[in-house]
Amino acid sequence: MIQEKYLENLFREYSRTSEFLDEVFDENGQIRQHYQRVYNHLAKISLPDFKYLNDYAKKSSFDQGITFNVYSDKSQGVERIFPFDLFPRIIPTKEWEKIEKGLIQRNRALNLFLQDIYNEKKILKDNVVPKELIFSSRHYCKHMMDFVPYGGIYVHISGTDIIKHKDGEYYVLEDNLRCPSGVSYVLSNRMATKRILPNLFFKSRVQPVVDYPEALAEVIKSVAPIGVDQPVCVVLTPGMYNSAYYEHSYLALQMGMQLVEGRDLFVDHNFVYMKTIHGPKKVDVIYRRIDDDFIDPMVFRADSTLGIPGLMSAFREGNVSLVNAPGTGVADDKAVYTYVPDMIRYYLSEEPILKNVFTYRCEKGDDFLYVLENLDKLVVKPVDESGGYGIFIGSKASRQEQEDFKEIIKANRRKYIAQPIMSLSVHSTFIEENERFEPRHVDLRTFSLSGYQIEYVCKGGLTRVALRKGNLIVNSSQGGGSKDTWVLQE
Amino acid sequence: MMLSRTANSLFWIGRYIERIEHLARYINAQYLSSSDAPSAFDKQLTLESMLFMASAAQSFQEYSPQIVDHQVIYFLTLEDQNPYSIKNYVALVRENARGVRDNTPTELWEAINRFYHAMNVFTREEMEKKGPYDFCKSAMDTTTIIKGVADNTLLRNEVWSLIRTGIHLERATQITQIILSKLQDIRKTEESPMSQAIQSYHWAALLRSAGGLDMSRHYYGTTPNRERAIDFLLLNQKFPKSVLYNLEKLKADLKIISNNKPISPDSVEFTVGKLTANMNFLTLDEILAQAEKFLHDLQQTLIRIGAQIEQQYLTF
Repeated sequence: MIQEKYLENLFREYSRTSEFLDEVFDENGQIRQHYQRVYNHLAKISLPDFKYLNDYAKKSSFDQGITFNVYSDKSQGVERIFPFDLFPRIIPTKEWEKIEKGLIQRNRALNLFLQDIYNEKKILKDNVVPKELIFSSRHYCKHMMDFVPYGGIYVHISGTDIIKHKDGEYYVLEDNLRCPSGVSYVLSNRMATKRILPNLFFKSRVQPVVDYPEALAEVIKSVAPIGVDQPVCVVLTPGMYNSAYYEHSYLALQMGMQLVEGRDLFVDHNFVYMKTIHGPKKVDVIYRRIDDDFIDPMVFRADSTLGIPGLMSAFREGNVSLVNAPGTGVADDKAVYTYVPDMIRYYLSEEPILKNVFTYRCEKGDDFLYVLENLDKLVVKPVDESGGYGIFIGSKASRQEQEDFKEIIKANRRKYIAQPIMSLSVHSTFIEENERFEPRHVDLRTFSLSGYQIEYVCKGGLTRVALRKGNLIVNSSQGGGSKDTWVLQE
Repeated sequence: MMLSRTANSLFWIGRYIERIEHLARYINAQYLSSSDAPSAFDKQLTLESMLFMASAAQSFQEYSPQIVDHQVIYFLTLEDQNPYSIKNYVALVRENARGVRDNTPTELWEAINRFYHAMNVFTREEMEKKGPYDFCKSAMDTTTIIKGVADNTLLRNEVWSLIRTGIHLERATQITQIILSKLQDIRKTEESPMSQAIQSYHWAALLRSAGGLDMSRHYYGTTPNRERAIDFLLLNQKFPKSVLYNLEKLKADLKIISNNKPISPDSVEFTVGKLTANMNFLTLDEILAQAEKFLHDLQQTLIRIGAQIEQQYLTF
């Protein structure tokens, strides 16, 4: 008789690594305490049952249409689901409290920074942040100068990426202050967990994430122009071919807001209206999921067909609020990132709660020389790219590639920063091809909200998994997956 | 408060869903009943009839020089190159549904999304081997499910009424087209010596293609003939597929969409109201005297109604 395989057997064969911090197992191979319950539950599931659950999870995402389009012009065969791993990532209460405080602190400072650099420019005059760095940034938006959006809030939604290093500390990897996406995966992953592992989930005392859309709606309404009693709020999407369209429509539905495209809106005498079957209807707040470059062809890219001509002028008149405000990209630039701890000290007179990854700025003489000499030990990133594009990992490059890349850096020093290779923690993850659990690198995309007198952090977030063995980049367009993230209640 | 773009998508979801259902039923009914056909009956004719019903005779000619059964069926059901194949219609429904997710319940989207993925499973080989039955049955069942989900979940407001407007207008149009296509089939076989037998076969096939054979037998208590078939499909007040029934529904839904606005002579409400009133006081004999002309005129008016809805509500 063939003995049925249980996950317990699989975990016994789990190949641990001492090179990285493992979220589930400690240095001695023992289950960490906060994982004990989940481990006990999973261990008793047979492999065929687990595979069935795994397939069920995939089918469920597919039926719900939680698919993203890989950039391509073909109409079919490009819809992928974002793979979802059933083994949840768990964050103990104590660790989360620190993350949450740190995120709120960071976002306060970033909002103050944005208001400052577009108005008084004190931090530049005091030489805390070099003004060349700000004014040379592609994302510094001159149309935002001498203007403060409602409540002084620029970044209403912030997606901060955090990693856990070998030393057991959390580090901020980057801020995403423009249109951070991914929260719909947080919500749908949680839904999937509840459906697939109900007994485990309901026993585990996990902090809810379902309040996110409600909190977001509150934040959006809180920044409606003065004097508007029942604000009409809409979600602006580039359209259904956008890779994040599922999220746009999902959030609109959850918040009870109309999902609009640029062509559904127009501006008349500095007021924004939407085109309804019974004529124009005034719009007060726009949660826009279109990049700055495309929102208003009269001000930004003239060839944009996604935007609304005249929107910026309506915004500056105070007749419509934009969530997030334009021009926030200047603060999530990877070179500006290195100054966030200084901003926190400068504006809040506090010590940063969350650490920054140590960063070398290629534009600085000493740093530049260090980078050239130690390229094999560093990760070099362009300061203004997102989605994991353009990243150079020194240790993975041949000698020739390193030499070539040095030339690229030399040609545009402002464009590059370098960081020591951070050892992202690993998490036990089910690898379908091998039918076993293997360690894979993970990070955490968090979601924080700032409204008028509202501060909120989603208790959880999107744990992204680099499914390719050894891969350090955890992005959905680069073959990544995700895990439900459980923040435990006290 | 509804966007014109949203209204447009909802309207076309209704139209396409209904079109898919009629196409699938027609293809299936024609394919099956061709095997019951009297010997004089030519198989070729069923295929031509399918193409006519789908308004695809010309595009098929460009696609294939010969009318071969598996070619015709593939062209109308699965062919990617044919923008009006059922599979492509399903993709259009899904695309429209995706664009109005914020206005519609998740259940409706998921039903449509599953439909799309289910259609993608069928292959040419399978269709040639097994015939179109499985495919058509699945399409008919799923459109019914989708309409049922919409029926059970939507608020009775303009979202609902726009989908219904699409469905009723399309159903009236398809029934008209089906009758026309059958009249044409009959004309083609008139010289045949077995004409009488063929005719009664045709009237039954017509009702089956419209999904009304059983209920017509029940209603009249006898087998179908020309008078009963035409009467049932055009004028019956209780049969949910008759043209008059659908015009009455269309009138009611437009009233909800227009918010009870007073009717002006250039509005779609006026056109629909006038057509409905006309048909309400039309005798069967008047129709039968010039059946094809009547149907062509009816079709033109239905096209105009579609254009007026578009201009009045769907574009800004």
